[in-house]
Amino acid sequence: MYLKDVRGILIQGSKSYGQITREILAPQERNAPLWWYGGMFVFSLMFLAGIYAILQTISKGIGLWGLNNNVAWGWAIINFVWWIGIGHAGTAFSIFLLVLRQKWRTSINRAAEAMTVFAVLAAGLFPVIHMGRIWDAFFIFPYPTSRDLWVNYNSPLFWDVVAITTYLFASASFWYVGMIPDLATVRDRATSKIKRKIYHLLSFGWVGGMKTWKRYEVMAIILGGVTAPLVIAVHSIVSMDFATSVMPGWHTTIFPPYFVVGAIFSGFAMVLTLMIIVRKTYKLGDFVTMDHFEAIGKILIFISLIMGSSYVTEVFIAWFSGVDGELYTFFHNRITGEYAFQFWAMVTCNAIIPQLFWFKKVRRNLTWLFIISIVINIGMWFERFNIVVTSLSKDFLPATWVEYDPTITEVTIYLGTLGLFGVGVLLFMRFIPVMAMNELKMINKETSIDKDLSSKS
Amino acid sequence: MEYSKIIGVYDDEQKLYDSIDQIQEKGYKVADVISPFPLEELFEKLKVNTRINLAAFFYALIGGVIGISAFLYYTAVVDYPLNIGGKPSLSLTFVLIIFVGTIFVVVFGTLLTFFIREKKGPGAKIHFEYPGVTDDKFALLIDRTKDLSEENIIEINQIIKNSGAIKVDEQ
Repeated sequence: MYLKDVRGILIQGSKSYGQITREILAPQERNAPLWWYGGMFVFSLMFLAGIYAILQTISKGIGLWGLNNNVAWGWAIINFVWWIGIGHAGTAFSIFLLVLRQKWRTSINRAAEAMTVFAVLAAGLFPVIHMGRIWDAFFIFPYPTSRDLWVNYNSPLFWDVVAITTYLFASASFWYVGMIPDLATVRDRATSKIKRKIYHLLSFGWVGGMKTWKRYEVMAIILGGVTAPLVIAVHSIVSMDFATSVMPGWHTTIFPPYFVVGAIFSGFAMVLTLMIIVRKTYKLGDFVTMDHFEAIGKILIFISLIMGSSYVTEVFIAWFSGVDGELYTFFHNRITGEYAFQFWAMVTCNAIIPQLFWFKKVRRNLTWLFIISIVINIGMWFERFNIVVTSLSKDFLPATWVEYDPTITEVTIYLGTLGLFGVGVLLFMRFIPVMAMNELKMINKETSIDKDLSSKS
Repeated sequence: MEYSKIIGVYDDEQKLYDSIDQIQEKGYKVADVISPFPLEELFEKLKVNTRINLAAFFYALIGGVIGISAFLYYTAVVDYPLNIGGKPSLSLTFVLIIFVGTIFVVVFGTLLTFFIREKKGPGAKIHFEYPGVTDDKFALLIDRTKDLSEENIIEINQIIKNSGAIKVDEQ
């Protein structure tokens, strides 16, 4: 039973089912606005620049990056972890809230899942390019070869391959399957023959009979149920890329939960950024209400507190361990050393600024929400920088200490992935219903004001 | 022209439920209901069920747990045991791969089962089309079988009309 008095109204304006369809599809049934073309132009340019930088890297080698013997993982791994983190929240958002039967997910899950797919695609690029000889990338899969040798199952890098492939497949499937009924709605409303044909192809011949819906619902629960632990597993595995090595600042048992929470943190922030843009540009304020944003804001305070506690715990354990390497990494290298700016940027952006969400006025102000959501993602990027670079640049042997600066190629590849993400999101906003219409219709009556909507149409 | 289906079109699910109750009370069979979103109440009324969850369980058990475990054991312990820092070949870390691999098998298998059972795929034939059933209308379908006499059909039409359908149609 949904309690409107406690939870708030999820769909404003006592809408009929037909109205929900019309309002959500309205932006796609109009011509694309100017900002859409502008955005596509900018993001496509960034994407093309990224492709150029990737081609350069492949043809000339990793030497084009600022990596060296010590800092062998630079921006590529920072960005890989950053994107994977963002990619986590989509599914975390959608699936955890599905399993917990939180009805407010319905306005946001579609965009969150779309974001996941593009973010994971962007993330997956980095380890592949990082291999150097990407034409040999298939060596990582266990397959019978003339060398008779199998892969090393004890390596977290192999776990990464299995986990990220599975995650990309599962989240893309979950997203697509969720879209099929809505694509059928677009198909049936299409006015041009070509559009109808395309959406007919995409909607897999969908007709919502009861048997179909039953199977569909059970399948959604199964996919959600198995993907929820996968979300936890994937980022735990990513953290083990670091935690299983004996580097100061990495070799710690807090890493798996710390990474998972961090991932959900950055992903939720990205969902917030995206939903504010969707709400504003598509005028969908009736579906994404301030209550939705407030709910995300409250979750962000909670996660921010966990992040803050994790930072403190890391520093405390470094001090408590009494190990010189750990003490140096935390107290000299990170807190007061050359990378102090990055460390304090991380703490400020992730643990301090989100505390503003304690104020209801901030939680319900779109400008503040937008700014803080961006700040969190910047902070989460700095967190990954801290982990990767500060530990590697100054390890146990002072003779090998070295500075790391990214080159233009690395920066361009990163911009390219931002372009890929942007292009993906814009295409999504233009051609796919941005909200799960069938799910909104399902919760419409019990979560809106007017019980009897049948007379309106 | 021979019609094979009687269609009652509704714009409110409550009226549809009442109509189904009445039709079933009279002993007629509802073939299906086409709706723009799942109507959980009807799953019980129409006794709709699925074994897709059982299928998923077996994919997990056979494909995932047994299949992947056997593969890992064969490759890493039997076929070519690698000595990595003297650690045992049969390692606990297999659990991680089995866990994630099982999820992959379940997702893949469940999707495949769904699409095969539903005969759905890119460009698949739409087996029933009626304006609005993917938007804001609910279509109640009753098969016009040989068992139904003309009186029966008139009675069904009457029930559908009286229960608040916006239209009664045939296809």
